[in-house]
Amino acid sequence: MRRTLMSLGLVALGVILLLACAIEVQETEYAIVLFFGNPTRILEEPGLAWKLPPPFETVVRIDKRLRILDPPEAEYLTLDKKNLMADVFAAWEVEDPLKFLITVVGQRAAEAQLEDIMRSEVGAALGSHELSAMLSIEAGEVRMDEIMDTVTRRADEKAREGYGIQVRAIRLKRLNFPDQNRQAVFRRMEAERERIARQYRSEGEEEAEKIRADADREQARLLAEAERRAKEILGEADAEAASIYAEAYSKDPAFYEFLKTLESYESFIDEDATIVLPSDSRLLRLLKDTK
Amino acid sequence: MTNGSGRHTRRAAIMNALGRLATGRNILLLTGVLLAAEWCFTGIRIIREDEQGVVLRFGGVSRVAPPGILFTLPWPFERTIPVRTTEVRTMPVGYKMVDAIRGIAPTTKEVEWVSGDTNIFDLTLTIKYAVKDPVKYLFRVGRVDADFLVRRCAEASISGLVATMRIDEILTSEKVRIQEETRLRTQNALDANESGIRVVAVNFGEVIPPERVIEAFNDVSTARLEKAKLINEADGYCKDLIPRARAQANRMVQDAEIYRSETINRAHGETAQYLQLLEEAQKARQITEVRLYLEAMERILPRARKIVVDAGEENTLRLLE
Repeated sequence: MRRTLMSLGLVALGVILLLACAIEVQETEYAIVLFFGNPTRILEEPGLAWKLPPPFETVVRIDKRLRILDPPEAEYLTLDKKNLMADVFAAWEVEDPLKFLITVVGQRAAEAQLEDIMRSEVGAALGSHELSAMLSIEAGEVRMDEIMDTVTRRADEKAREGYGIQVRAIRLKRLNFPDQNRQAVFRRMEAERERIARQYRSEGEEEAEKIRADADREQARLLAEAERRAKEILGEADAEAASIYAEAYSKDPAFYEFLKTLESYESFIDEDATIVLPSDSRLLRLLKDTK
Repeated sequence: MTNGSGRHTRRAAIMNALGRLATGRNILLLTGVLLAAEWCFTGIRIIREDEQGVVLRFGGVSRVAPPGILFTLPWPFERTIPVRTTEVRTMPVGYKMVDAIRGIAPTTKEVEWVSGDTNIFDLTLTIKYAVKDPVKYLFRVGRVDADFLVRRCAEASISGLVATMRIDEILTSEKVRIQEETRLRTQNALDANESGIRVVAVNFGEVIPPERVIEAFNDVSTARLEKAKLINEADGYCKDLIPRARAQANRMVQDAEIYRSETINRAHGETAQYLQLLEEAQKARQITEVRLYLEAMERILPRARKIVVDAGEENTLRLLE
């Protein structure tokens, strides 16, 4: 029984020792082995590794995942003295775990350092470009990606050198105007909309007037043409009638004259006319003869 | 022997045998075996249909297992993390899900963007995404960061896109293109960061001018409608006027034609009458002329005052000769 207990105790001791010597390096971390507090080895590959038991060797684990630093937006001044609120974020990861371990204490401290670098780089970049490099409708004038690439590169250099941090990307998430400028922007937007609205209205009137004028002109043209055509027809008709009359009447002009004279008597002799008839006139000859 | 007593004796025999087995050593052994079996069972698990199992050996990825029964080495050698790869997740941009559920409007900071012509507008969208690569999703980017990286990449994509566009394009014609382009750019940014995330869809919600200036924008819409209305009315005027004018013109020509036919017919009629008379007259000129003359006199003389004078008198007005 004593021997059994002894062997059990030995096994337990062995297991404890084994556990103290084993390092399980996770997929998400670097493990740094410290020999009496001095870093000796960096374990980059995940899996099982071995070390001396404490107090000889201890392990510090450093997260190697990509992390996002997203500080609150800040106000910057562009080259042409325009105030701009820029909201940027950085994607970063530990590149040199040893340097990271030595220079910064934990993720919070690292992010504070990185935030400083980022702000100063973004400030420098925006301050050396005009607003039109960030916002413009002119083709090719906006160089936002290029500017942010430069910011990324320079921040990366600094962070890498200073803290063993690799900055993968600093990107501009949002641009806006500071509150005191936003009101001015809104006023300008309103003025611009009013101008566009006015333009639409006057364009509408202009086009409508043009359509009406065209219609009126077309109407006048149609009527004038019709009038000309009608007059032509009337003229032709009168000419044709005249020629019909002329043809008929010219057959015996004397007889026509006779008939026409009689007709004219009928038209101009009315109740007011007084006719003096000599008794030997053709009409009254018989009257006189009977006397 | 009956069946009942036979069973009874057999049961007693089993109990007896068990009693003999249940010594201290044997119980310890049995417990040990059971514990060992239990330990082995920690290496067996079911990966559900919507999951993939990432198997870790001492913390390092050894393999990714498909759905089904999965045998791994027991703890602490291997460990399995299931990841739901078919699940489509939702990430709001421009508002917070919590606020939306509670009916709280997003802040201007969340919802406002600036266009290339330095106009401010409001835009909200939702991104549907899924895990494309469970290993990268789990280990490449910090757990909470991975999901919010989707939002940040989308925001950066949109800011970059609208920085070169006019507000009018953004609010109207280009909206669909921005949506599609946002999806592509967001996916590229996520791939560049090895996030293991696939963007399934980008759905734009409202794209509107800020509340402060919305009336001015609405007035532009009204003005556009008014313009169309004015033009429509003018078109209506035109469509009314021209056919009327055409009808009137036609009428004028037709009237002229009527006049022509009347005039010519009358000419023919009158001349026909005259020619008839002429024909008659040529047969007996004297007689016809006398008849016509007297008939005319019969018609004329009754209505006028008449003075008959003797032919012998001087200065006679020989009116009717």
